[in-house]
Amino acid sequence: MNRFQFRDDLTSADVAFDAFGSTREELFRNAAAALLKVMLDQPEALLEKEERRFALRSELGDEGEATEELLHEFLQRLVYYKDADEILLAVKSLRFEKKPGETLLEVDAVGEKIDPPLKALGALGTDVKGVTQHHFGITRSDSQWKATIVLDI
Amino acid sequence: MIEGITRVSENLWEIPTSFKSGMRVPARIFASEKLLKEMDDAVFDQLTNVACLPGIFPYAFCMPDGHSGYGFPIGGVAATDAHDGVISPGGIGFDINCGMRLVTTTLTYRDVKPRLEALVNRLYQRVPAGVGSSGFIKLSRSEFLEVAEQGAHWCHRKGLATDDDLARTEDRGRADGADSSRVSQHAIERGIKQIGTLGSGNHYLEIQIVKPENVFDSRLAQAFGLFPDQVVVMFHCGSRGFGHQVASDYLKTFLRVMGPKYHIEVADRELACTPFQSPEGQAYFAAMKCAINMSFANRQIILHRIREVFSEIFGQSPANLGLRMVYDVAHNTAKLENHLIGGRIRSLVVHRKGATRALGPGDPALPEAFRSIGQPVIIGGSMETGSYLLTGVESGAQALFSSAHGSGRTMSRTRAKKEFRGKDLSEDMRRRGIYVRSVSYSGLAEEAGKAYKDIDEVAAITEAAGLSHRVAKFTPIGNIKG
Repeated sequence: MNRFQFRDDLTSADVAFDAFGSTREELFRNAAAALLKVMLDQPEALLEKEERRFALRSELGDEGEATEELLHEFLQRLVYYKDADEILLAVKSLRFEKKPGETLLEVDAVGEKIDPPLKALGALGTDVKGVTQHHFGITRSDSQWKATIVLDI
Repeated sequence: MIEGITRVSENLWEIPTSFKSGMRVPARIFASEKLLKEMDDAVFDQLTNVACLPGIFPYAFCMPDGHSGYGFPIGGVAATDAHDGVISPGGIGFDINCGMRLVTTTLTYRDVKPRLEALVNRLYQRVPAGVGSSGFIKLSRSEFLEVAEQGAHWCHRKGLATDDDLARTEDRGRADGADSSRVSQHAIERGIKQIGTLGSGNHYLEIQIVKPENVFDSRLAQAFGLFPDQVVVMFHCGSRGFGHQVASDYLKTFLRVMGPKYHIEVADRELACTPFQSPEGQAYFAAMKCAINMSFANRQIILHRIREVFSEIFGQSPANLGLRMVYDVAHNTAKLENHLIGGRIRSLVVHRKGATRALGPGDPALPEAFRSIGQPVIIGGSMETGSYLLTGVESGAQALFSSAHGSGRTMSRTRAKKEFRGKDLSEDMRRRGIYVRSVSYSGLAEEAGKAYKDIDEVAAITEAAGLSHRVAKFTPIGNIKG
């Protein structure tokens, strides 16, 4: 199974991709990998020098809607760290937890500062300004989760 | 060509309200037949969805460079009644006050050519661009909030802007009514380090020349301080992560309250809206103005750095080098405007997404320098093809004095990266006399000229349709991209 696949057909001005996973956790991890690939041409160059742990919660009762809300917030948070802390991050671990009235997502992400190290490598790609709602959605079959995401460039 | 579209005149088309259930007004598209056929179907679907917004009046408009966006097409203009209409963040766009600034110099191509590479290299070093770029002006939180409320006026107080710069910026570089208490902590944290940065994607800083054969109106060119073989500077950027977060925050709020509280349904989530006069609508309007102001300040600070670099490279003061603004124009905004329609003055919230305001001669909102000749309109092309300066015209009233803003993409970024190699493109451009520095080769490939519409066609049809009047075309010789 591909981790993610960039798409030609959903947008001309920005970047669209489908992310895949055999589990919800894998889907989120691969969506984050696709986001990173847009901003860092050589994601393998990313060292684990910075760490960010954060938790997100959705109060939506429907599991599908809650998962979509969390995916959007999760990717937006990675974009936030890019601007606020000037770091690019990859997912080290993530965990869902269902509690009464809410779904929690705990994330441990690692990466490094953009400038100077990554910029000096010539490894940077295109800046992402945010995650849109355009075509945004998650579908699930027996063996596969799939998310469609359009990033605003 | 979609079924049901009718030709109103040579470069104006109309989709009637019968086309889609819920349309409150017709949709009008300014385009040649060629440009119309190049527009993807999503443009028409989005434009006719926009025509369903509560309070929209008199039409849902699309400019000649229209292409599909989120909710609204890029190149979309939609005005809603200020009393009982809605405001929609999708009608402004995520990059609030993304805009263009044009600066003249007294230098000619002959003056610049021997030092062009040194100039571009130094600008590349001194104007932050690309992923995660941070500005050279360090602001405290309170200072950033001042910038958000005062825009380019903050820059003026700090000695980073002249009186002339303010006079030649749309709305004098400040949207009144900005309220920083309406923006989120996340938005502030995303934007505080980005003042004075170019960004990435289709944002750029370009050195251009005025070739004699590219002057369309010599009288107006002279009025704007242009002359043959002159070197000018043009740059394109917006409100960076700050504006994007403001838009995202309020889109989320609007999606939550739109249905349950205001009983509004829209065909596309990205068209989420609330009544303009609602608490949420007014909060967004005040927050949007913060992003408008941040962007004006952003471009002003970049201009300050450009002046420093030119002075360093050419060994003269910026004043001696004639580094003077022509104009700074926004192309993702919503403004409260009065328009005379059907013999009646209407107060309207005019959303322009990838569209530029283009006031005609005589408009009192214009600075004195332009009042008799019309507002400068800047249409940016690709890094290979050039850009245009136009003016607003009286016949612009037909589109609420709006005009095109760029050439629009014809190829996705993903496909452009497959078709072109950034390094090859850079070398090819250099052979053709355009020296480009880019933070990212893949980003450069995405911006290849062949990925964009024909800017000459867009500018020509913008004029032929009576939206703006061509003054001059600028040819790129140097470029910085993020």
